[in-house]
Amino acid sequence: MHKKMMSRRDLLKSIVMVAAGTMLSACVPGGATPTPGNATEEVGQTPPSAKEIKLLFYAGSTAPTDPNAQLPEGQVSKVAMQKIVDAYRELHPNISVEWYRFPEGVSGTEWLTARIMAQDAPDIYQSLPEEVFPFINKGYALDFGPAFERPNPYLPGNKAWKDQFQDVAMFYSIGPDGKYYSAIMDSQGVMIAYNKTLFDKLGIGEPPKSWGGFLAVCKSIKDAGTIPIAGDLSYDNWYPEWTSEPNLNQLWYDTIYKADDDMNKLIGSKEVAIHLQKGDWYDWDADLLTTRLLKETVPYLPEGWQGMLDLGQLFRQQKCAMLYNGSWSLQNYQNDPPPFEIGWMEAPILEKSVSPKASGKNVAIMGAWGQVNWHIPGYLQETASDKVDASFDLLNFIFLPENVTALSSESAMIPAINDAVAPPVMAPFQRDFDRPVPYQGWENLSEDAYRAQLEVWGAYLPGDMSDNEYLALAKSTLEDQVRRVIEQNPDWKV
Amino acid sequence: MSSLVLSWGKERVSSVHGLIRRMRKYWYCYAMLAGTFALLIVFAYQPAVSSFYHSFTIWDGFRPPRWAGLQNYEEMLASPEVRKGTINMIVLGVTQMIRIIVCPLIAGAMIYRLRSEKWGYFFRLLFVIPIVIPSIVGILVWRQLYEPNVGFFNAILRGLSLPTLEWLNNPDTALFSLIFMGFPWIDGVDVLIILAGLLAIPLEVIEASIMDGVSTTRRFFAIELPLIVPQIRLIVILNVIYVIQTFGWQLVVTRGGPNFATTVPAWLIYKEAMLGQRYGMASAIGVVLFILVFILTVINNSAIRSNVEYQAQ
Repeated sequence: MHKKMMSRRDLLKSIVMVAAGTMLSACVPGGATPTPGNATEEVGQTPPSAKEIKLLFYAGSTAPTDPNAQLPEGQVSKVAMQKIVDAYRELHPNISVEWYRFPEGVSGTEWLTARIMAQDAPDIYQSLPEEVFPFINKGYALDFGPAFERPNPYLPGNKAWKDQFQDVAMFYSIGPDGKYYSAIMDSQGVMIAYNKTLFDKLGIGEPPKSWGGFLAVCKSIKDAGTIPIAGDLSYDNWYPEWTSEPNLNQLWYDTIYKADDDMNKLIGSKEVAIHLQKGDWYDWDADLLTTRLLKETVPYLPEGWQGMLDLGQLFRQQKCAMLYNGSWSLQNYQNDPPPFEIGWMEAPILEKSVSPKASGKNVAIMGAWGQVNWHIPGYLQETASDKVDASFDLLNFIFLPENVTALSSESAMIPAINDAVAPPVMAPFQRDFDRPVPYQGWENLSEDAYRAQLEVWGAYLPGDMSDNEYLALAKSTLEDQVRRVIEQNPDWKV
Repeated sequence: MSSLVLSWGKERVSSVHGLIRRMRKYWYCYAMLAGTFALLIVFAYQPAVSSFYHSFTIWDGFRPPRWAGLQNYEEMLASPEVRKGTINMIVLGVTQMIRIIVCPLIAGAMIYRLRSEKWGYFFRLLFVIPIVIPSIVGILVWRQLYEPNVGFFNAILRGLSLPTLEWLNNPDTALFSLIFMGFPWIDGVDVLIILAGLLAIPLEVIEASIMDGVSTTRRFFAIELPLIVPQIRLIVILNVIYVIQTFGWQLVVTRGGPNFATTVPAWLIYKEAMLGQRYGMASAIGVVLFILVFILTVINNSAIRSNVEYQAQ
């Protein structure tokens, strides 16, 4: 039987048609461009839809461990979140959750920008407030305000969901426009981890409380042949900010809230930008003194402190005796203990001899930059409102105190939810202090501004720059950073 | 005059007709090329044109761009960071030219002179194998070597009772450390390109020079080197583009510091776009770099020439 073969010409015609069709389909426009208005539309009081809904959830470090992942020795799989979601599914079988696994080695800011622009961000995503807030007016996150005013249907007696949250969680949820943009489960703190074994060996005893005492301890550690402080000027390690923050806030204690226009006990990006333009708030004397105090620590830093070092390794290898670190590291130290006993000390308090402005207050670096800062993309209200309702309902369930306690225990968190209990390992960070820092530094204006501040410190700290030269450079740099922020947010211009 | 114009016009028309005839005859070739060109236009040319347009705007990548005229270019010219980055790029470029020409040339020439084909193959393989290792691995290894407190180089200096250096972590030594990275700078691809050029030299030329009693050194400089100028030109072009575009070290290790010591314009493009959300400014820097690469390529093509070029046999 004669088999009809396709001629070469016909074959090529077919290939061209397929290729053209593929290209045309790729040119089909995507979803609607989100507008700032989307992010603030009120979410109606609608129970989750009965239709099948799949939520893509980037839960951050509380996500259940990927069953296919190979864990390092000593690390235990996380299961609490999966159990919570399974329990939720029993109540709502039509709602399923797919866990989004964050790609390794990718910067959070860049990832978020790409996903929001493409409108394919997870339906609930984890991101620190400072990564989201500069772009609130671009629809990065949905307004949580209406949801906070509604009762949590899973908590008997609850009149408004927001009543579950401690002040620190609510404050940090507020964006630059005064609206709430996230559900925050935990708070984090920063203290100074120190090699207690070395301290005992050197007869240091109790950790120093004052700035003078701190420097004296540094000197005795250095004389004993160990680098006192693991610190550098890199963006990734935060040493200069964590050293300067408590000092600046102690010196500025009484007047720092002058810029707190929305009275939320935090100085946000918009407030910083407005008041820097007005020139009625920033205390340059305090800034200069803080930078001088930072310079006093330079002789006690490791070699190469001007660039990036692996501070964690230097501390573990006992090359350095002290390391500024956060409560997020406690679980790591528990799972993989270093070869010495770790102690935790608070940031030193400035004496009156350092400056008459020293308030003597115990200011803690404490805030809701923890493991759970969950947002919902702003465009979702327009593109999939049923997912928004389902997302809020799921969050209501997850934030029940018993669920938060379970997650806190597994992920070593300090819960910022009333009636939830912190695990014993977090004990060092549950202490009394006068005030959590409302202003961290130039970073409150923007991340770019913090990078610029590092460059200014990089020019001042190692060399012989005079105080006036430092102030001139710092002022012009900060002014330029304000200009950049206003460029992105023209309505903040004074 | 009018007859000349007329005849020129007739020539044009007939050549256009000829073109149309050829396109009809070989329409399937053009159809297959059309797909490739479409992709090239969408993914290569359109972004470049878009970048050129956006260099005149203030654009955060999200909201509609606002026309800003030459503001981005003015800011770029006034920026000390851009100035420092440009100087760093020039220094890195000049040292890169020396590194990518001299060392691979020596290695290629030595392999070329090996009498044993087996050993020649072996050394070729030895220089090529490192190509398969991702560059990020090399960066991370060198970062560890340079680590001021626990790194290998300072451990040697301490062992020899010499003062240690801060390498990448000090503004005075950071750029030098970047230049030194990759020592002995024998890139496998460059060695192969040069070796290919040397092997393409007609044997008769070499034999004639040997019979005339030309020494090895003189033969290298007078005969072999001029005949591999096209290969050297290719290596120079590729590396000029590489130096202008690369910012791997800055991204992974230095972040342009300390104190702008390792900043280059390519890093500034990334920083402005991805970290600062200032796509207009990033586009402006990109446009300037494009013009620079274009000019350097033209100069390279006209400046690096040889009087004699043989076709490979």
